[in-house]
Formats: sequence, C-alpha cells, structure tokens
Amino acid sequence: MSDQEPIIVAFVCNWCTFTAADLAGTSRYKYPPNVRLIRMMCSGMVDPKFVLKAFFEGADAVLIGGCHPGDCHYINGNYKARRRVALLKEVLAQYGIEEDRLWLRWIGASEGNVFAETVKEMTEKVKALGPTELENELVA
Amino acid sequence: MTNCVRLPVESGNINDALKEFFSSLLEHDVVQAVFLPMRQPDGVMVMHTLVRDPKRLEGLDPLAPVTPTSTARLLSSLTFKKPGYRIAAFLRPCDCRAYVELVKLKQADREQILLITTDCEGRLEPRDFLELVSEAGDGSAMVFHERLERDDDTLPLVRACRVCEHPVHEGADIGLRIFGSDPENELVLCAQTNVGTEALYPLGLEEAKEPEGRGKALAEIIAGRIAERDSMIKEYGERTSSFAALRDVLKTCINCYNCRAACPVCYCRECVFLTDTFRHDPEQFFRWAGKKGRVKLPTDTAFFHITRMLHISTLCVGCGQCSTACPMDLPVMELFRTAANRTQARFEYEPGRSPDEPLPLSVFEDQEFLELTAE
Repeated sequence: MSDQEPIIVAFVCNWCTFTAADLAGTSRYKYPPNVRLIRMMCSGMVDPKFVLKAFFEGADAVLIGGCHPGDCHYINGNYKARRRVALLKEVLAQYGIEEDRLWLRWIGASEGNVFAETVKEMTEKVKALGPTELENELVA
Repeated sequence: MTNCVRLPVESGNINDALKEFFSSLLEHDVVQAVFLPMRQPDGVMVMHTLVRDPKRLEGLDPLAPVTPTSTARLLSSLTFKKPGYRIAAFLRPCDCRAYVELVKLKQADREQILLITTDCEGRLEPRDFLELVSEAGDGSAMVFHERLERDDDTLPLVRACRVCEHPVHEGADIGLRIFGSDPENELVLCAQTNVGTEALYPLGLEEAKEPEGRGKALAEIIAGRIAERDSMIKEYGERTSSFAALRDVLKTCINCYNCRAACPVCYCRECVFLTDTFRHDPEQFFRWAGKKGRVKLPTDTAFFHITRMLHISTLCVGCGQCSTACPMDLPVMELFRTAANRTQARFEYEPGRSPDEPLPLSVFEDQEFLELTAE
C-alpha cells in the first residue's frame, strides 16, 4: 500500500453524473477528495484514448459516469460507452490493470448521494489495490 | 451445395492450368478484369496485378507463397467506389476475411467481386520467398507445396500462418482445393456460393467432385494450427501479463507505424497518431521530463499499440502483415492475436465470418454487459 492518496480521474457526463456531483456538493454530502472530475457532454464522448492517457499520466483509477439507460440526452451515447468500456476492460486486463480500476456507473442528476457513495466506495477499493505499475511508466 | 470443376495439370505446371481458367473467365465475359498474383517483369517478385486482356496473363502465379502486402487492402483500392466492372479477385483466406471486414467498414464493394480463394498452406516473408525463388525459379509454388507435404521443418513459414485456424474461407465464391488433393495432376475448383456456381457454368469445364481426402486433411491441419495458436496465445498472455512486461516486449519499437500502415483493417485515412493530437507541444516534453526527471523519446509507444488494439483487435484476422512490416522484428501479430482472443470472445465476434454480422462497436443492445455497471 502506498502512503500516497490514489487519484481517480472521473469522466462525467454534463447532464447526469456531473449534475449529480454538483448536487452532492450543494447537498453537503461528503466524499473523498481523490476524484478529479472532467466534465464531458456525454459518456459516449469518452474516447478510450482518454482513459489510457489518464492511466499513463498517473491515474490510479478511472470512473466514467453517465445517464441511466434510456435517459441519455443524446439518445444512446451511454450504450456506446458501455461497449467501449467492455472493450477497454478486456485489453487493460491483459496487461495486468485490474478490473476494479475502471468503473462505469449510471448516476442520474438527482442522485447526488449515489455519486458520493460511488466515489467513496471506489476510493476504498483503489486504496486496497495500491498504486498502478504505470506510475513509473509516464507517457509510455 | 458443391459444384466442382477440374482443371487438368500437365507436367506439374499448375500455372498453365490456372492461366487457362482465368483467361476463360475473361473470354466468356464472366468478369471484365481479374486481379491476382503475378510474377513481375523482373521475374522475381510476385505482386497482385489487374488484368483486362486475357492474352496478358503471362507470369500469373496465384499460389506463389508470398503476400508482400495486404491484398484485401489492394482490392479495396479498386472497389472503394463501386466499380463498373466485374472483377475476379484471387485472395488468400485471411485476405478474404479482411476484405469482408473492409466491406462492413464501407471501404470496399463485394457485389462486383467474384471472390476466388484457395486452401491456404501459408506464406513466406518476402525475403524468404526471394530466397526460394532463387533456388526454385518459376516453380516456387510447387516446391513450397512439396516441402510442406514432406514436413520440411527448414521452411520458414510465417508464424501467423502456423497459428492460422482459418486455412479456408467458405464465404468466397469459388475455392481452389489443395488439401487432400493432387495438384500435380489436377486442380479442383468448387463453387461455394450461387454466384460462384453461375460463374463456373459458362466455362464448360469438366465436372469433378470434392477431393475425397480433403475433409480429413483439413480437419487435421486446423487442429494442428489451433494447438499452435493456443500455445502462442498462452505464451504471450503470460509474457505480457503486466504493463512492465508489455513495455519489455515493445522496448525496441521505434514508432514507425509500419504495422498500422500494413494492417488491412486499420483503415483510417488519417490516423490519430499522425495528427496534432500526438504532435505534442515542445514544452510538454520538458514538463514530462520535469515530473519524473527524464522522458524517453519517441513517446506514446505502448499508447499507440494499445490504442490500435482498442480500435481493431475485434476485427483482427491474424494475417500477420503487421509482423512482416515491422523493421524491428517485434512480435506484433502475437500481441494482437493475444489481445484479439480476449476482445473477440467478449463480443462473440469472428472477423470475416459473415458480411451480415455487424461490427461489434457499431451496434449496442439495451440489455447487455450489465455486469459493467454493477447492476
């Protein structure tokens, strides 16, 4: 286990998960400060390269947050994100990057509490995993 | 449905028999052009050549054991706009399957193509092929075949072929039978689709049967190759089971991107790795070097390979052109087939199997991969 706090890079969709994060803040929910939010217009916009880049530049885990199925503001972006995450997990797992370092979660705009809980749970899991090997592999 | 014809081979010269067949396709106006491997005027290298004049088929050598570059991609350069001609194209099974993927990617046309393939014994790297030609001359195809028949271990068959579990392509219109047949005396061509049957009919060739021993021979070959494939995937799965291990395998990569250029299914006209996205600001390198004390250039090596795995591993047909193109002799094919083994299984997708199966990343379902979102 590393003494350093893990960093979670979160790609969150503008309409649901980012709004949920906002709500978590205004509702005074507490969650670990390990997460770095990147607001995307849609989870379907999260290019797998963004995820790779996050890992290569030192992220210990990546969270992708989107709208619940059926709620995507661009109709089906979240379904596309789900296939991409399935693909990413297969490839990353081959190179020893644990499944638990990449999360996809549907968190609706009203679910500030779910956002806080998700970040909390993920931070704990990632702390248990320790740092990635990639930390020493900058811009690999 | 099998509808086979026989081409008699005289004094072991298969190319004369095939020449007659292709010339007959042109003369009967079944097709207006043929596209097949031919010895070039220098008499040494074999390259795919587009022929419209049946009298200009000299030097054709479809079974020469070499594919210097992806012929699926070459064929797509003739068909990315619907051609005004019917073309009989002779491709190895791996290239047939790559071509099917290109059709699905809307980079090629299938309707105007009479796709002819062969039972594939494999190929040599271009350098090894040239060496074989220096010994065997025009007869390289038969010398190659004979040496394989007697299990000549010194024959440097490309590794992609040794592990290729698809030595035939049933989706082609016509298939040339080699396994379990007697190519020194006769060649058997079988229609595999209605289009193939209709193409063979006007030629008035002698009817034949499927070579009797083919089923058994094919099953043996496939079983052997699957065993080799599985042991390769196991070996490379273990050799790259951590990121550091992957880095170690890629340590001599010089980011030349030849593997990308050679890959039949890596079809983007402008690859993101050649765009400004990866033309980092000079200051960026100093920042990286500042963060960890130093940074190796070129950067983004594993990034490139893993991105390519994400982009095309689901479509990888295992042709091995990536490894052929690599100037550093990296096991690119091995890495890709190892990753593809996982990704193709995840999406239950077999590239090249059918033009009707959608590309895995082009579709989605409402209820799928529910485990990913902890539902």
